[in-house]
Amino acid sequence: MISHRPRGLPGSGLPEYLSSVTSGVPFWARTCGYLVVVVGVLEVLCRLFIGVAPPERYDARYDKISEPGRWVVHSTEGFSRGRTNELGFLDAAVPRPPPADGILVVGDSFTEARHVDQAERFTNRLEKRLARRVYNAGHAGWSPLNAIGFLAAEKATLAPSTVIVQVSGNDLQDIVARKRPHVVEPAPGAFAVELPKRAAEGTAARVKAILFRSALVAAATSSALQLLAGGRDNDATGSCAAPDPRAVRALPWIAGELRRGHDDVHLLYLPMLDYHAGCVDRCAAARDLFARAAAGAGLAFVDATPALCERFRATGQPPNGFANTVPGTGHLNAAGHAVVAGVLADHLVAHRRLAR
Amino acid sequence: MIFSSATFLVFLAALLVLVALARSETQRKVILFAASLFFYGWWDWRFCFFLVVASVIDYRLALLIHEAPTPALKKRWLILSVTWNLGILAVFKYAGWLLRNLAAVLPLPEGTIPTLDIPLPLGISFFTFQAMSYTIDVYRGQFNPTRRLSDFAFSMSFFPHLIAGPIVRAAHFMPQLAGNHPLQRDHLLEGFSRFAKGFLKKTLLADQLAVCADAVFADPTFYSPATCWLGVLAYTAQIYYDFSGYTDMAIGLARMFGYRFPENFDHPYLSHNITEFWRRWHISLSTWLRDYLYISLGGNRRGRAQTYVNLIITMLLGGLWHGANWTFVAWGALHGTALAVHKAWRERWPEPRPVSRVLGPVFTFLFVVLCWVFFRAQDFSTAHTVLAKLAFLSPGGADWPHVQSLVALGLAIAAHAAVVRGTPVRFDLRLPLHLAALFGLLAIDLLYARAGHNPFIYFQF
Repeated sequence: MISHRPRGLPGSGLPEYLSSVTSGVPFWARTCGYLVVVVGVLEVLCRLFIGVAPPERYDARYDKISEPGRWVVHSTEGFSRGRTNELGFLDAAVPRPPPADGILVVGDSFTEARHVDQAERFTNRLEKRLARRVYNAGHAGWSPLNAIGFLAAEKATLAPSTVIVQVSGNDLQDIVARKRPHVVEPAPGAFAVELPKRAAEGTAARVKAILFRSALVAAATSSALQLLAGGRDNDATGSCAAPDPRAVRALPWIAGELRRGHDDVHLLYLPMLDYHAGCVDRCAAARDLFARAAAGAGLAFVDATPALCERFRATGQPPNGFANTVPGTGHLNAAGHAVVAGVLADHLVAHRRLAR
Repeated sequence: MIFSSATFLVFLAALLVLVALARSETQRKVILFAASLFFYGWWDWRFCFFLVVASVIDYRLALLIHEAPTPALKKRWLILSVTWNLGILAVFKYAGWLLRNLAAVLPLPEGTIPTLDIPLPLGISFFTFQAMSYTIDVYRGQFNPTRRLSDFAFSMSFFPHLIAGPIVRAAHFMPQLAGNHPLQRDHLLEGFSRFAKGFLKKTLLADQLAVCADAVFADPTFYSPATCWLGVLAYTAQIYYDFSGYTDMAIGLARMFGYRFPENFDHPYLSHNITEFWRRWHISLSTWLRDYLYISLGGNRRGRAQTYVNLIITMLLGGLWHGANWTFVAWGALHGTALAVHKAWRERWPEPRPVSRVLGPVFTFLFVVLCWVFFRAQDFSTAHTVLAKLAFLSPGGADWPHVQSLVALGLAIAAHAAVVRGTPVRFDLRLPLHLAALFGLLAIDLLYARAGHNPFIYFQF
């Protein structure tokens, strides 16, 4: 098991050289010294390439959001680096005063899109194409209920002329999940949003905050927890189980709430496509429900499904998946974002022409 | 309970504590035997009884063979032993497959031939072969059977080799049972180093490569030819790191408890020809097939043509040993044919030519890679699709430069290059730098390990 090269000869190999220069140092001290170097190197690697998740805070109006001004490195699905803005989103700073023709896109991880470079996201592409400021207000795990709270809270800050709320099939499960903002029905037909109860910050949270300043500790803990839970959420972006009846009943009310106080609101539906089965939306039932609710509340409904499938059939390259995950699964890749940006741009241009 | 799982690490820690507390060799053996049954029963406790009963029967038959007064009677007991072991395999592993094939071939109304869906006891192929080698060695007079049932049962059920080998022969293992095996620092360090090496091979390389290989073989039409090449190469590396990783872990575990297992791999992908490949790949199986099947068929003693036929039959059955599927038979037949062709070549040109020294390793590797397509594909249709993609006959499909597979393949090439240069990667935990490097690798492993159930490939055999 031991390398039998002569020891202590500088130049005969790094281990031998290190052994020669540390020959008088006790075993434990040498081991600790090497471990400090190893941990240091890993910490640097984590900060540059592996993962730095920004800490989250809780806002009483719309639940969780990333801390502002934090460095983010994402590498488990696709790869990107960036910094959160003053609102806690991965986006450029909000201009003061905000332009009159701004577009606000509120959504979940598909909108936040940590998986691609910021310039490749559909919000940034849309901004370039329409020459209008497009605010990316996407946060992983958000549903239309977070959007309702956020729109009410930050309308004055951003003053958008157009609002796009991005939804996906899994939202119909999320809006009734008690761990997230969920709809309650105190009386038949009367709905309200209830935020989950968050534990008060105690000593454990403070210790965790200190430890998690290390990107290595944060990434390793996150990985270990996922391992213990038996699943890493790389390629699953939510389930398409049969929609909960309460969610189905609440959808028209949710659409109405999104419309409240805004003239120009659009519902953008991003599908979960099964490319192996010929590009079929696994959540087609949810799409139909969203479309119906949007029509009922006077929201414009934008479905990216046909364009995404058309792109897949034309090129054979699925618009979901990355070089470090399985193609056709998970979030939209750069090509997928380009398709969605095209669909949205065409829709907004046509909509404006129609409105005139 | 997979060696690379958190559950197993807890089991191992508890077992080490118990063995350390044992006061005598008997206590240690009882603890290890009970732990082996617990380990086996973790999947399905009912099969523990099956394992014990199979051990008792083979133990008794070996004694009967040894004590039989006449060669004819010895032979009769041996036939009974081989029939019993092959019978177990036939019922559990092949009966359902044979019935399905019969139903497909015979012009009978549907449902006439019943379907069998018997759960396959884990490691059945390994422990039946181990038992057969024991009774055949006793019959050949190469080995005196043990009179202690506990020793035989211990050797059969010892958990490091129980599920996926290596096939530890009695002649190798039984003599070790005579000594004392208290936990020793050197054994623990040596064993843990080897176990860690296997653990890293499995979790850092094999499991990452599996992502690409599994996806490509699940739907090859979806992917481009280049991606299919990556998938097939990923599987080539995966099966090596998965199985040799398991073997390293098994050898390391045995060493922790003071026992030695034979080596099972010797960098097979560096082989110059297919004969050499089989001397370096799954050594415990290939030597088993040589000693108990090829030689029993007559080996090379019955003329040139019969030698080639024996080689093909041996590999064909070796392929079938891996699983009840015609793709395994095809894989075995291809390897058997290649071995026969190589033998004929060597008889015609005994001295290796300079060109074969250069091209030999390349062609051997390519042949092995293409044969893995049959081994991995669930049916011939999938194998055909993959081969068509590899031949660029079916262009189009998704391009996927799977980063983890490319990195793992790069590391594999670097590791093999180090072996060629004579500086293989080794851990010696008595050296601080190695200890720190191992810690770093395990930390990286933690960051990248795949969650969920990632069983070893050879568990299914």
